[in-house]
Amino acid sequence: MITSTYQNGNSYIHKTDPRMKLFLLVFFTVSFFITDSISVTSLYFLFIMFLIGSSIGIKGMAAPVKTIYPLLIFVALLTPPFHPGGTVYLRIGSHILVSNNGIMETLRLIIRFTGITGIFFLFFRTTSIDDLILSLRWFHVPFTITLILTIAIRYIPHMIYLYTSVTDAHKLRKNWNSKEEKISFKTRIKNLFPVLVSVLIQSIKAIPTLAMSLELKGFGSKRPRSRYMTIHQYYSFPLQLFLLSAIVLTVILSAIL
Amino acid sequence: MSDQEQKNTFTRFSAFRIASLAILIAVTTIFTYLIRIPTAPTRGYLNLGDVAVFFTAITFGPFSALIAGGLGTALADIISGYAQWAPITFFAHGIQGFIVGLIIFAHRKNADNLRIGIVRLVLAFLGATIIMAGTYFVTGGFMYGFGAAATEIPGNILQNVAGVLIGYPLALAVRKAYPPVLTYKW
Repeated sequence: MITSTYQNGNSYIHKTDPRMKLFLLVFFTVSFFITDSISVTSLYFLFIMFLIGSSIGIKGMAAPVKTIYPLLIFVALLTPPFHPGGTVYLRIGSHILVSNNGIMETLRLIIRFTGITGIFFLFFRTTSIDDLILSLRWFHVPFTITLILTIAIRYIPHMIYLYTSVTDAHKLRKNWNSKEEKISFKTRIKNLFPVLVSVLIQSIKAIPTLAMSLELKGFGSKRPRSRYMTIHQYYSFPLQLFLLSAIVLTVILSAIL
Repeated sequence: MSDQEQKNTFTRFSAFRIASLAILIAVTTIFTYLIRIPTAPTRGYLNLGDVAVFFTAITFGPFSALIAGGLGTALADIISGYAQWAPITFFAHGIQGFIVGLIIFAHRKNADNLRIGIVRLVLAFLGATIIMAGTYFVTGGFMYGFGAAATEIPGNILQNVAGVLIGYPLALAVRKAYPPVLTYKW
């Protein structure tokens, strides 16, 4: 399930330091909100699309748009009437539906949202969860939070297995939620409820066992921890830092000018 | 991390808390990502993320709900391919769980009073709905305009209705079937 987000690859973005990518993710997200100029946001957007295209492939450029296109349709339909001004293209009575200002605002919002979606897509497609957690540690996110996240991610497949097993067990007891039948919403909830109770109880029962295994592994010990996982370095760190600074400087200058 | 810092962290977070939060995050992620109930009128889906948030808040308290609700739903967003929502979801559902937990756990000495219990539940629902739907509306408004963001409000309210209507009976059923859970809150 996690691998459906991250795809192993050999591109230069895959090989870039995850800390740089995490910084750029936050930086570009903020940059999209700082400037109001359509031309500048379009440049950011094109740069992100270039990164996606050159690292994941041309098909990859459509992937983030696919997930948000219904929302983009809503933006295109609902934004123009709220921003009247400039040349009027369509009006009903005294109400301006489509004007020059409305179209420009719609474009700006669509570019911004698609760009933000694109940068998040690129980050999670090219960064493994392990690298992300190590980067968070480097940015001084508390050890306990990253430990909780690591254990939770490891437990997700177990939970899926648990849910499937409990659902199958309940299905064996009676003819339940077969796809051919049309079942009302109320019946679906009624059928699902005992499954949820069983899944929750089984999950909660795992807490003391997990806590015990953490203690057996030495959690809470005053002795310093040993660490074996490190962030993979493919390119030299100063070179990446130089490129990162160049990108940041260009973005800031384009926003100012 | 220095030895002193490590010692302080361990004092604050015992192994049991770490374990309970990790399991609750995984449960919230599964409830959000995997369990979806088709809704006939809109042909859409209702996810059970809010049910998990309400359950955690009612059973384990506000701080567990803050972390498990926030991180669990944010992880589900990342896994589903909607990673751009993850930071907002973390804030919206984290605070939602915290508010529900705070209201439910306020004045525990009147816990057996049915009228106070209902009032508490209604207040928790209202607080959760305002925080969650409000956060999505405001942040969505900044990202892609308030017109489009307003279209999401009914869905978010429906999620909260499902959260309270399924989450509360679920918490009662789990307490009844597995009483040791009552000692797990912190």
